[in-house]
Amino acid sequence: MSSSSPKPPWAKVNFEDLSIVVVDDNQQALDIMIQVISGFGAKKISRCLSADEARKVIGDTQIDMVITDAMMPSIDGYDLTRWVRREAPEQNRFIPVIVVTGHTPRRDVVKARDCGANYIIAKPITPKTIMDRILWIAREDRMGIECDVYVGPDRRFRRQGPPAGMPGRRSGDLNDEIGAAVEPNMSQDEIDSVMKPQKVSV
Amino acid sequence: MTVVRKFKIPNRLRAALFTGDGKRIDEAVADAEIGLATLAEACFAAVAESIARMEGEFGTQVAGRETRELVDLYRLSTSIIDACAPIEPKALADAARSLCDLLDHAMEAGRWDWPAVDIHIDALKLLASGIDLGKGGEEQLILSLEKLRQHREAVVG
Repeated sequence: MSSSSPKPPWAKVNFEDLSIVVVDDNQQALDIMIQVISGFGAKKISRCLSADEARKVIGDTQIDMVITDAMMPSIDGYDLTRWVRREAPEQNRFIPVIVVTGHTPRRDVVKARDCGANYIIAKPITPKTIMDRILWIAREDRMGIECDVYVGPDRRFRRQGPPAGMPGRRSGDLNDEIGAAVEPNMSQDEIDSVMKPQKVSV
Repeated sequence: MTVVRKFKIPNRLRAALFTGDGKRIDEAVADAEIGLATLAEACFAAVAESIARMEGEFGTQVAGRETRELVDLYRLSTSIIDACAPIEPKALADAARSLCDLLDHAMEAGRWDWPAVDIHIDALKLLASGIDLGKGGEEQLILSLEKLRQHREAVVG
């Protein structure tokens, strides 16, 4: 099985050596996310209560992944992602960034995609959703794009669906069709559709 | 003309994740769920506190509630969604999300509809009360909130 093949649930994942930055201004939401990724086996977790704190950590250390809340005072998760893509040290500029948010109107999902985030995840989070998205990112071979209006992972890439052995997605998920969303708040699958197959506007 | 640089991103995450020993994926998810469950009590208390604050700051009895910052109510609602990860019923998060949609629309339209807010706060109180509505009852409640929201958006604008 190649490294980018879907992993069955009995495959092993090693979170121990991953340096993960988790950012949320809500202490409880931070505890929840950290509890989840600690359960996965992560040991090197930086807890940040603001984007400013996160920028210091990302500026000083080699990081493997950032999980950030979208709505934070002063610098929000979108601006933090934009900073990572444009101003972080070279070693961290294209690390995976997952944006997590409680409310997902379409404009915010598009904003997350266009600031260079790899995925946006709707709260309340579940361990399975977080694991799925991390595995998706690990399987991806997305190219990096850098131009005046966008820096981040290529927004045009092949849709691969959930990893093998992880049938379906969360209840309430809808189909893949872009633009199918009519509800103000988007479901996780609608979000994934917006995040995945759009064309880059350059 | 815009110059576009396209390049391969080294997948450091993959390299680390699938190297060395670790946990089975299903076991890692199960461990995370067990860990998450330990936060249930604290999260439920946080939900109750947020609902109490909603009532205390934006409830029907609060004089001058229309002068308060609506974004504060929006934040209380998202804090309920945050805290819902380890608790039941899941409809609590749906009701809070419906309130976010309502507030988001109201803030954008610049028009306010207190009765619809009051109904959402009542729904949150009911769902957090521990009364078992059953799955059908919860679904019906969320559907009613959605219909209310759509109706108010159509009427109020």
